[in-house]
Amino acid sequence: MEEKLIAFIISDLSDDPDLKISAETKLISSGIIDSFSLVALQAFIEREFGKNVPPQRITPQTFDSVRQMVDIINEF
Amino acid sequence: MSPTTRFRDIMERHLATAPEFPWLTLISGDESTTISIRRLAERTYDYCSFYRKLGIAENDTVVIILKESLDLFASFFAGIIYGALPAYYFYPSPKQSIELFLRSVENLLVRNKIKIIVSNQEVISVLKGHHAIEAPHFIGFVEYTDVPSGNRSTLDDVPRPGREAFLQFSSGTTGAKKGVKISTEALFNQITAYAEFANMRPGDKVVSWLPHYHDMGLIACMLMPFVNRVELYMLSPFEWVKNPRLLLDWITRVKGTHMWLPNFSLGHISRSIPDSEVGSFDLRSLKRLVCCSEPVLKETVDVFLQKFQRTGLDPAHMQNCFAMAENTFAMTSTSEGPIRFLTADPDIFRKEHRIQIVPRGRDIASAGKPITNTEVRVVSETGGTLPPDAVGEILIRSNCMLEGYHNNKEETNRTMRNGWFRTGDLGFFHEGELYITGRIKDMIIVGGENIYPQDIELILNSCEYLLPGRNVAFGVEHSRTGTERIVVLAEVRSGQHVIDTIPLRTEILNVVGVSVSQLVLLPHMCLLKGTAGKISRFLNKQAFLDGKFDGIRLKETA
Repeated sequence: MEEKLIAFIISDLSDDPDLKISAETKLISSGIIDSFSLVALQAFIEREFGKNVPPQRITPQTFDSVRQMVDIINEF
Repeated sequence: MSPTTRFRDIMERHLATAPEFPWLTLISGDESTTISIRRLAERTYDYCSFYRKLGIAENDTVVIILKESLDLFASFFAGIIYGALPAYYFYPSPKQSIELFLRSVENLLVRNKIKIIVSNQEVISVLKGHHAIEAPHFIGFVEYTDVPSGNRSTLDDVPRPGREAFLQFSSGTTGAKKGVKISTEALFNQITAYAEFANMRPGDKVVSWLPHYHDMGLIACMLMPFVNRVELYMLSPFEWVKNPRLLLDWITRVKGTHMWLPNFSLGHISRSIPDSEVGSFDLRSLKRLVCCSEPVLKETVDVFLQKFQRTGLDPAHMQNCFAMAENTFAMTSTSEGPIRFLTADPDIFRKEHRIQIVPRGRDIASAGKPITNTEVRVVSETGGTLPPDAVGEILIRSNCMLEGYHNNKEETNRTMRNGWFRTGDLGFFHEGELYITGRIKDMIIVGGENIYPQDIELILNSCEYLLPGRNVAFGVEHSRTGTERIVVLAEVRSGQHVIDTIPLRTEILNVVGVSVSQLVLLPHMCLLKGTAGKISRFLNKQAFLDGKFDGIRLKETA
């Protein structure tokens, strides 16, 4: 799941194809992606993993790294 | 002495009243050569005769590409006196791309209808070897050694032209040099108006490393000292960059009184001279240290003043000046220092384009008040005058403005509106003083917010693994968001291979309030410089969009 999320972030949300990120990389607080990207992430998660994460659980604070995202996705 | 607007009259008066005055000292390493008014006049008159022999007509453009030398001055002064349009062009640095130099000269020839280029064998051989240097008006190259010496002391056989003028090529991108045409009337109006701030008196001494092809070097550190008959000590810019202490050495040695320089050179001096050597300088004689040509940064000034306070340098003698070739030189200036800064709320500044003073925030330097006979307005996009503290484009109107851009009516018409000149700079008035914030063309607009690239570059300059001053930030269109996204190109210090850029990105987001879309790390010496010798945002943006950095960028780790 982590790999797919990382691949999606690099290809669809970032503008830098050479960007290297890990599961721990702070994404929103570093500016790699912005908070507008959370909407696209929510749609991707539902499409790719069949998980409907409520919007109130997807915030710049809770979705700042791929590791955090996976932890929350697995709650549903 | 009756006033005049003729450079020829000034030359003849100096020759008549003080022929042996040691006006110019050219410094090269440990050696120096002093040139008297008489010697300068003789060589100037040599060039006048030579131009006449070549058939140079009034208003023919003569470009001069020479190193610091007697002929550098004589060829230009002669061009003015003769009635031609002399213009300096930069001498190619060994580090600059020859291709860039050749393309720029080619464009210059075509756009500005150059008649001759005065230079030396080294440059001429490069230019001659380039097949595309052809233009209908161009009659050829003049090697300075081919101009015969006649030891002339009069111009009796050289008729007075209808008027005197010269060109300054504005700094810009390759192929976009604009020839700013300045009459000697405008020159003398500028010298008179700026005199109150420059406070140049008999016996003063100007020490300079500035290139003569920029307005600060040409006007403040060449023509103004000549008209005022104030000694000039000139260093080569190339030499000064490698050995910045030379400037302070010579100020100490000759008790220099005036120095003009851009903000970055204060930083260069501060970083290059060890604390242990500061005690060897005596800067008490300096009565004017004028910053100009680029925004003054509080941190740079503070570091410089603290470092050199024991030299006797008086902060009250520092000035900031807003200048451009289109007004001959100065438009506004601070008077007695130290340079004042106000602190603005950064969020309001960025989002609402206005100033709200706060205890801590963005420091902006005052550029002072307009000089005599120069009017300044700050206007909105629709042209209406803005109230104080609102940021807009700066317009000027004066009696020392350009006549127009040489052979470029389109650009002249674009920038002149009802007698006002559009500077392309952004700023605001606060309590009667002008503050400059940046260039319109460099502005990045992200979601309606104005982002000044220099704010990002300032953070890059203090990053431990990046080379200070070797970075650029710019905006590119972002089709996904419909606004701009920010790209940063930055050179990495040697020895740094694997870098985590997350803390740097985070700092930029926290301080400037924007995300960096792409942070491209490059090896040293990859970024392109413009003809002014500065790293060019425009050229590097173009290179980035053309994919020129793709194969050489350094990889970062997560």
